[in-house]
Amino acid sequence: MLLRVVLFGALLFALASTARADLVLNEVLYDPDGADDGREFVELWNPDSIAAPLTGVALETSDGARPGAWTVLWRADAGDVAAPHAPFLVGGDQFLAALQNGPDAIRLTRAGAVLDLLGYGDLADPGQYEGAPASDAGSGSSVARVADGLDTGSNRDDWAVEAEPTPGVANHPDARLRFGRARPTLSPSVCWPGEPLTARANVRNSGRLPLAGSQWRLVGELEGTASWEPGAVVAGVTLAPGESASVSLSWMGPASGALRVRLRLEGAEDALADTTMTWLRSVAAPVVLSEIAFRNTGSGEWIEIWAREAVDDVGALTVADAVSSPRPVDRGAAPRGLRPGDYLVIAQDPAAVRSRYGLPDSAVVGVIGGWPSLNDGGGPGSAADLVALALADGVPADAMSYTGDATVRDGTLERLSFDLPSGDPGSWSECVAPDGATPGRANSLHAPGGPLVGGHALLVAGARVLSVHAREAVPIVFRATEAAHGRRLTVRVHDLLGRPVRTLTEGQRLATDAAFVWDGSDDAGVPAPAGLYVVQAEALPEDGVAPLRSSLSIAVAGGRP
Amino acid sequence: MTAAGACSLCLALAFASHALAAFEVRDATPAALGAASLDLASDPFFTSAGYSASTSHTTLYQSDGLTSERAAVAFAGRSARLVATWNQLGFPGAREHVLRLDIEETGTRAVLLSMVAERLALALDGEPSRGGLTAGISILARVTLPRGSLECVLAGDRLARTGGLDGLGVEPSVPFALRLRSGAIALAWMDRWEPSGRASPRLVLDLALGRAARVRMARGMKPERSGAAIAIRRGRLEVSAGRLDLDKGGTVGGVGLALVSPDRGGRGGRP
Repeated sequence: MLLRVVLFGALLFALASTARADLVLNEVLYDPDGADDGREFVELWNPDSIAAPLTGVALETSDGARPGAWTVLWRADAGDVAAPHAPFLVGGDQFLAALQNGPDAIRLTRAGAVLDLLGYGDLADPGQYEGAPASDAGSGSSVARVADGLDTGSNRDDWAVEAEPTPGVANHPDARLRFGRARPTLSPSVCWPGEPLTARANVRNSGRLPLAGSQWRLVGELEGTASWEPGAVVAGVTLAPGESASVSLSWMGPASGALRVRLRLEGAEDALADTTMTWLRSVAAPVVLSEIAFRNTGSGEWIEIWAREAVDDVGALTVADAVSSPRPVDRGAAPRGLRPGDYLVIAQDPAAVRSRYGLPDSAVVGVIGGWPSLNDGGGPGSAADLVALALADGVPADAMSYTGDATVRDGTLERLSFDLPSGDPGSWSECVAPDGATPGRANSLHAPGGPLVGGHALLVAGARVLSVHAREAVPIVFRATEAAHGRRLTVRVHDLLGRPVRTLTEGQRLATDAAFVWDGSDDAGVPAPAGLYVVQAEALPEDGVAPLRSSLSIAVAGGRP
Repeated sequence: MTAAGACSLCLALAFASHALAAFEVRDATPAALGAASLDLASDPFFTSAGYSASTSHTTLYQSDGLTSERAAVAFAGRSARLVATWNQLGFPGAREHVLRLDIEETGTRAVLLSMVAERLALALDGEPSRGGLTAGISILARVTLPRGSLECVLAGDRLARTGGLDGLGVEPSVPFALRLRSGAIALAWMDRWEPSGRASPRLVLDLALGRAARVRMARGMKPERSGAAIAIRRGRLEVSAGRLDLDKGGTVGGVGLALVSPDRGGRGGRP
């Protein structure tokens, strides 16, 4: 009796195996992220050990609201063959009809005979699914067999939602590493040559097994003229299945220009490889942020930009803050360009800015889609918001972030020099013009220009007399020379007896050009009295490099009453 | 006179507020650098009777153009010494000018007085010149010891000021010195007390190397600093050099030249 049962079971298994040796549906993506744009796909699987010709094979789809009506989605071409134990991918551009979002059904036929059937979503007609319908997948996710090619006759049991679709490769792999959906970020997004640059991306272990940090690494590359140039490499971290980690790597800002940054995941297996890209700008261009009015002092918020290079049409520029989407500049009906050296004010309320500062219509424009309100909150020293200028294709032009306490007199934030790095707070200072702003014209404060090379001087000063009258000072701007670049710099102001008055920076590494401002106040914010002072800069010793010191003497006129 | 000086000093301390301003450097000669004491009038390396004339040049903090030039003429009689000093300090476009007159009692009495008058002027490019007059007083008390002497000096610096100095923050202060002399060595603890409570103590060692050379070394606090100077007299000529180094960086260096009357002996002086 037992022998008969075993033989009967073996016969059933053999029959079942024979019946299931034909093609099956393996994965379906019917709702890609964003527009479909031909990114839908259906993956077939050949469970047999020999290649399967696809002669007469077709895909048909049925709307869940219209049971019994099947529409041909795809027909195999003569000569199509599915490799043994391998997927066969039918891409969206091959479809004869649209692949609808669920609830819906799709079936695989050969010469009219149904080879496999998948129903997903809340379906009522048993003719649209096997056993029970599979779960409906959200946007960007696919429905995929839990094990490639395994069909037990129940869609619910055989299929699962796959957050990261796997067209053409095995479903639910043991090892898989992918970048998150968000684009990688660069900090700063607009850097200066030699300035430290950090790229950060989210990486997710979407495989079924844990991943050791030694199994993978993150590689950053910069777009070169003919090839990708290595930037930096960072070792991986241990990730449990389904776990994500933010991974960053740093390198120095490249030579000026806009270029792509490619981040690659590398591992011993192909499943651990992934690639993502973003844009980087080194040296702000073609337009540069010049002045930021992030507080509404009666005429709304606005920014002033300065053209380093000619711009054919300012309508190709966008403005964004830290959280808003880019807003195109409203340049009017006709294209409008900027010549090198031109200023342009982009305002929340162009009419109010024109009226308050007496500017012509052409000097002030607005944005399309609503002003990206600039935040002026945040605690002392913490970032309040970001101002980002970009070209219409998403290539950054300039970006800077500021703190809420960057200004104390309701003045605007002015750039001290267009040659200073945008992301360095020392490149910006509060406007000292009588009306607190200089829209459409040169800023009220400037870092000294001229020769910054030669000799051992670490600083040059824009002036040697700091005037303080009625408690209002016109600060002196100091600029680091090339001798200070790459060094850790401390800059202190002391009186002629050597007694400390103010520390302008302490041990800051100057990766590139930098400026410092002294407004004549001491470390407690109290205006220093009139007299002579010494600004001493010291490049700290490190790695066998000797310290370097230089001093500048300056005078404070007026001073503490 | 002693009582009047003491009263003035008390009044100055009672009504003074803060001090940190122009004219903080009183003396940048090698003698002052060796004592780590830019903020005090220096004790001369040698005492001289009769007429003398001196000049010095000092470079401050290796800052381009920041220098101090000083010229002084002095006459020391039997009971008093008179010193007239001209000093300028600054860089092109910004100068402090000081004219100073010191009248000092000299001799072997236990208590000696001195008075100082100054004319201060600050000239900055693009700004109106500002300045005024000050006056101060100093009291020296001396105790003779079996093998030397102990001196205590208490001064009221800039006790009286004209109104033009108000905006420059020129305030009174109290220089203080306690000096022990024995043979060729003098050791002094010196300070200048400011109304804000700030002090800058220093310890000064003077060594006489024979009759012709003097060495002065000092260590000061707030700010931490060290000074060293040497002076050599040959005939009527006296040359000196000094240096002051701040621990946090910054060097002041100067040289001096003096022409003195033929040496009639004596050593040391008064602060």
